[in-house]
Amino acid sequence: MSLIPFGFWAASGAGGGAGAYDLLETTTLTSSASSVTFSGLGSYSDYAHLQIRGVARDGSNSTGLESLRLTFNGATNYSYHVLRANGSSFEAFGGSNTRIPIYDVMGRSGSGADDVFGSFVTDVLDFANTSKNTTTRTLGGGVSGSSRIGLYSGAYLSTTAVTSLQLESDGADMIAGTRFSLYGIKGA
Amino acid sequence: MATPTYDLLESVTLATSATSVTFSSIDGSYGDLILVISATRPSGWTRHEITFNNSTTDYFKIQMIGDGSSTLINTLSRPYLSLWESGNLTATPNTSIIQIMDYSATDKHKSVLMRGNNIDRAVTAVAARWGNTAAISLIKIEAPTFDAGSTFNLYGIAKTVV
Repeated sequence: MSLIPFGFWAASGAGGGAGAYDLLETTTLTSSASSVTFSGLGSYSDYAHLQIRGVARDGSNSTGLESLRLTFNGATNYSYHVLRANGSSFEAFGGSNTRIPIYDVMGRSGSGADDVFGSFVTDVLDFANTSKNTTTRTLGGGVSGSSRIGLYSGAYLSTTAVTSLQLESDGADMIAGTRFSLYGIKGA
Repeated sequence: MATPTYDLLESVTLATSATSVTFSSIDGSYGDLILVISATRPSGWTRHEITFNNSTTDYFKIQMIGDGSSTLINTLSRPYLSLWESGNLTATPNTSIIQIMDYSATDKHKSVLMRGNNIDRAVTAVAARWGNTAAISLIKIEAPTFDAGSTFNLYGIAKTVV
């Protein structure tokens, strides 16, 4: 059995064989952008899973937090589920969508201090496997003018191997300093 | 080019019980830190209290907790980041995973994501922020008691491809 160092299995897998968990690419914005795309993921098919780690903020003058949209291969067929809390109530919902929503993981510029970012960690499981749909799970949130913590799952309803992924702001453009890093996790 | 990462920076296994563990002189060359705690205590339950750089100000968090029959959510500001329900009975270690994002960046507050997994008590998810732009070079974890055998492992996650 492989010991894969992501998510809750970190304790057992971390520090295992060299190259079990590799940084593949990082994009750190130096100016505002509405989206970030990682393409050419077909070259990473020797990995079993991908992980996206993000620290993000948008340029909206509004307070609170903003969401991201995750899409694969430019496709529009997804399903998702959400369990989240805002400090006074829980919400649980889901459905089908044209993207996988990753709610409330970006700080917003109207929230006060210029330094407030949100963050998330998303695992993209079996992204190159053509016998099953690709699924995701995310832990993310932020503490800003309003605060949110959430657990999010998603499915790309296609057995097509994922060769590109895009993270797009659901609101205003993301600002400089926003950072997305992509990691590969080896399988058996 | 792919850059192997998820590097073990420091590891502590308590030989005797203790009330705190400190990681100091943390290597600032990584993007994120992941702190994995597997701890027990003599009885009852408690929380881990986490501070950075010996600061006791500007910690904010939101948490959601489920204990099997009820839920709790709230927002808190304390002189530390707390992970509730994270200490537990001796027989079953709790595993806590604390992700500290862009810990060495000096242009942003520090975002923290935490998950607590305590089979005796509850499951917990937390988003937090340390409202300080200083690079984190020291992490201290405190509780009334950590038993001997409790483990604390700190990992570095690269963000720069080399």
